[in-house]
Amino acid sequence: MSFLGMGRPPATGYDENKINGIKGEMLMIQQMKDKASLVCLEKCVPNYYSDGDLNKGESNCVDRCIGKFFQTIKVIGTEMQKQQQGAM
Amino acid sequence: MSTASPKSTPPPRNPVLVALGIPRLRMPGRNMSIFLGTVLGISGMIYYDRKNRRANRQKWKDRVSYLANETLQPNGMPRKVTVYVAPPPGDHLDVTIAHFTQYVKPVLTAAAIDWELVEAKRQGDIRHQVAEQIRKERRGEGDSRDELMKAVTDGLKYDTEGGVICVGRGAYKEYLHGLNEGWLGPLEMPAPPQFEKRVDEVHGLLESGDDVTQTAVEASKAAEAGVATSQGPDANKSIEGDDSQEKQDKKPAVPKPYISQADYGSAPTPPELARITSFQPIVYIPLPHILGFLNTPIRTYRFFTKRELADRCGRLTASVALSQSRPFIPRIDLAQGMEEENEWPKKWKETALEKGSEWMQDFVVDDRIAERLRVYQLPLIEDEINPTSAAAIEG
Repeated sequence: MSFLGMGRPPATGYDENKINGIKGEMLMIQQMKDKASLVCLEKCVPNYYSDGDLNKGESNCVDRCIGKFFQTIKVIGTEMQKQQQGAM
Repeated sequence: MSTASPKSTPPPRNPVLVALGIPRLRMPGRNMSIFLGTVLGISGMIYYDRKNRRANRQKWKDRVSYLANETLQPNGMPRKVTVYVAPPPGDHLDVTIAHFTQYVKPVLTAAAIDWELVEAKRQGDIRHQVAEQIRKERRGEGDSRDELMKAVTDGLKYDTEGGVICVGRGAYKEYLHGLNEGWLGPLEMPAPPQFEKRVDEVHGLLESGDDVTQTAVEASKAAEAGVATSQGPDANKSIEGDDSQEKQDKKPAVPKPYISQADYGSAPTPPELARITSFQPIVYIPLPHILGFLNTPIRTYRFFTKRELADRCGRLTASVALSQSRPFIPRIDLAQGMEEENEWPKKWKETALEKGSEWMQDFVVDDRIAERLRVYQLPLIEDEINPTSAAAIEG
């Protein structure tokens, strides 16, 4: 409704706010992935690189680390939502 | 000091003591000696036990840690063992889980083996779950993944070895019973025959009215068809039938076994079983647990000798990690854990026998199942028989 008669590109219109929202989410997901890789690499993979592939122990460790990481994020997310709702 | 004779000078005092201001060093007196002796003695025993427990654990971890250094392909999944835990009679599940965490888990993580912990809260949980899984496989519904999971996991290379660890005699019994029930029992739940009593009880309960009348009709038909169950489960049903009706709003009771121990021998061999040559090997991890005030001396002794337990459990878990197994011998393996069963509280055992509870029923494994089972056990390692060097003695 806002693009009618404003000279925007044709085809389906797009909402600036939605695009920004999606950009923000993508940025968040990317940051989360970077942070997770960094944390789990530091915890699970020792510094002496003898081989290019991860071995079984490191793989298991990384699996569990990422699992715990996302579980923690979920818990923190629900807590923050609760607090926000409580504040409102 | 002042008691010295005026003619001789006091002996020269140590300048260190003078600087510290200590008038004179003394040995502790009788009471203090007793106190210090007790405190240091007990602390020393605890310290010694802990140190050796850690050393034993580390010994087994080191023996299996070469497995963790093998490369894993990006699409490969590690080996996964199933661990069945059940609470010991008279106590909570935390005891078994703490035992698992202390003695079994370290060796599994050192060997980079993944595990799935199956907890049981009530008697029969493990048996039912194991049997249900087997029945699903027999029916052909073993693959319960949806489209997305199929797309994700089809490219992965799973390790097919598996393995089963039963922590405690209760879990061990239930697992074996579940195995028998799943393979030798019927695929569908047989309708329990003694339904007249239950129908009388539930006249008042409107929610379950429909289910009960339908199943009562089925039950009478089944009774005519001659579905027979032996005495033990019958008594079980009539007693626990009332309880389960009362508890229906709280939680559903564990379903009864589809086939009882007495019927194992007469059950026909299903074709699915004939195709299989061997099941996953199993192992029983001892869970020494004793309750009671009068057993305090025994419990104290056990508190101070946990290093032996660490060695035993570490060795059993290492056998799982190294996949060393031997065939199942009913004479030996059905008696594994008798010392644990003898420690179960007497009152608990008596009530369990009266009610016909699962853990106190006959421990029977059918021959067709026994010939396909294997048990994890490490053969005597050369160094343990004839230690030839100090390093070998220490492991």
